[in-house]
Amino acid sequence: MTGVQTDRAHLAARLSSTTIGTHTRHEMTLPNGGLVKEFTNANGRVYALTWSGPGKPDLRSLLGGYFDRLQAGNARINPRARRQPMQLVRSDVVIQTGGHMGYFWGVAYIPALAPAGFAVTELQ
Amino acid sequence: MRALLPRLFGLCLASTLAACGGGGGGGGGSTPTAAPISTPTPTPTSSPTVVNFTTVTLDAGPAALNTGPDAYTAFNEPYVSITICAPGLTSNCQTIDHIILDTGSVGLRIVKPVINASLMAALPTESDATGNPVGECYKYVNSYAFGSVRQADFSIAGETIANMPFQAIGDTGVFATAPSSCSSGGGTDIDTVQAFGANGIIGVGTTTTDCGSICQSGLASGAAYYDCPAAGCSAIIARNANATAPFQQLPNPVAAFATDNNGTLIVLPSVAPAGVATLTGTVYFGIGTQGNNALTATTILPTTTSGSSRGPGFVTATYNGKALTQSFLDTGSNDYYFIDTTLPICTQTFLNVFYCPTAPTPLSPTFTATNGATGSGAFTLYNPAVTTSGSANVAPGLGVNPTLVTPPLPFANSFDFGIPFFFGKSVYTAIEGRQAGSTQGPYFAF
Repeated sequence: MTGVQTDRAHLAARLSSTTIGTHTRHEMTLPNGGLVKEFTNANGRVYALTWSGPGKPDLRSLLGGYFDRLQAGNARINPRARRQPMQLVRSDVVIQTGGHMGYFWGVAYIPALAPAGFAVTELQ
Repeated sequence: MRALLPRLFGLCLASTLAACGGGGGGGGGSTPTAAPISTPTPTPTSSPTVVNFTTVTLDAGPAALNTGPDAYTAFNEPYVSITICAPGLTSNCQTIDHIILDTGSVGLRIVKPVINASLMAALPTESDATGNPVGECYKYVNSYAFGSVRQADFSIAGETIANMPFQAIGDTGVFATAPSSCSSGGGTDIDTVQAFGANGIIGVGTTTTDCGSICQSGLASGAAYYDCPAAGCSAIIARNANATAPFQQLPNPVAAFATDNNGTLIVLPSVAPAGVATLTGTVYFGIGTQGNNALTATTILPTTTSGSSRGPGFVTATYNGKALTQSFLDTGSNDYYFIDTTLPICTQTFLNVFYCPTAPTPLSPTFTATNGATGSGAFTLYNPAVTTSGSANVAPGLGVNPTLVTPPLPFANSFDFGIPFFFGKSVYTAIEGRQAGSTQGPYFAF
């Protein structure tokens, strides 16, 4: 969760931004057709991002320091639930991933940076 | 290879069916599975007939899983045996057991250390336009596998493919380090047998290659191909999506067979609620191509195609009033994965992602296919802490909640019908663009 313009350049994405109430949604279209959406608050800080499409984007770059925490929290695959997706639910950050061959997705947000009244269902 | 086919076929007729289907072979790095006990007799058809079926075994997995501090045994993993040979050389072959049969992915992938050194040395690596070797990254939902793209003469049952590319996971030399764009998708690097949960995987899903047009354009999907000069693999390169020779991307092996190439039929017995140590069934190659694989299903569910923005191989499952538009049938998933916030989650440490219903609970998801056809996805959900035997390597009706986040997020649009859905059924997986029985693939049917 670095910055919208940095991520747009890194992902070689097309960008379109829309302001809705207290937040702005930045929609990036990746070369392979995938989508990355970043949500910034009134101060311009990224408080949430989503990804979806045929592959997985560069999460190490998009998630910044949270990437290593996501990895550490999912280091061992449960042999009885081998397809359990990666996820991290902590007081300061929430990350949920999912998907299947040909379509992967994920959602990450930082509750402390989210605008008042934020609901995860807004992250369409 | 073509000239060798009649000889290979002759061997199969002269010997037992098991020798064609999976046992035997010169494996130094792996133990062949037992010969099938109750293999059905194929119905005679017009000659020449290829032996189009082999045994599927669910058991504790290869011995390498159950060693060391992270020892475990496999659970609900359907395995087959395959044979690879040095191209054109029937004297340098290996039969490898405990290869996961996966309707949810495409392509053959083998964890490199299980391949005999002498065979490995004789398997050419694909080379790209600049003459460098080709590597591949393949991403699963919570893991990734990186390795070389090698070519081998491949066979399973009596079906053969000359010079078929496969991924040698965890290969050494220039392939020793996964590229940053591979590992940056996150997840576990599954480059050993213990991490992978098998000696390899054979993906027989609904598409003809493992990436399709995206990799043909030089981009990445869940699969990505790499230029691998001496300095290591970094640049993603374009690879064509040929489903037959000359190959570049990994093909769906079934789509690349000379015959029986429109899909699979997987037949598994039902399993008692407590589970069993071992289960055996049969995979038939082809749909309506021989006397033993007629399309007799009463539910035929066409799926999305490679051109869909939702991704390929999906149907809609409606559950608790919500239409889940990216649902699928997947032998490579060892449970049902779905969200139901009304069901209790188990509290035991190793079960705390499973549902623990207070009593066996009938659930009734319903399928809707891309053509509007409907069907039942009903099953009974069991409590793994109460119903499942501790010694079971195979058990029905277990459900996992794939998300910790509440309320469920906007992208959570899947109901994953894993291998338990296949127990007690005959399930067909038809390949995209291939006529299979009365219906054109892609579809699932049962």
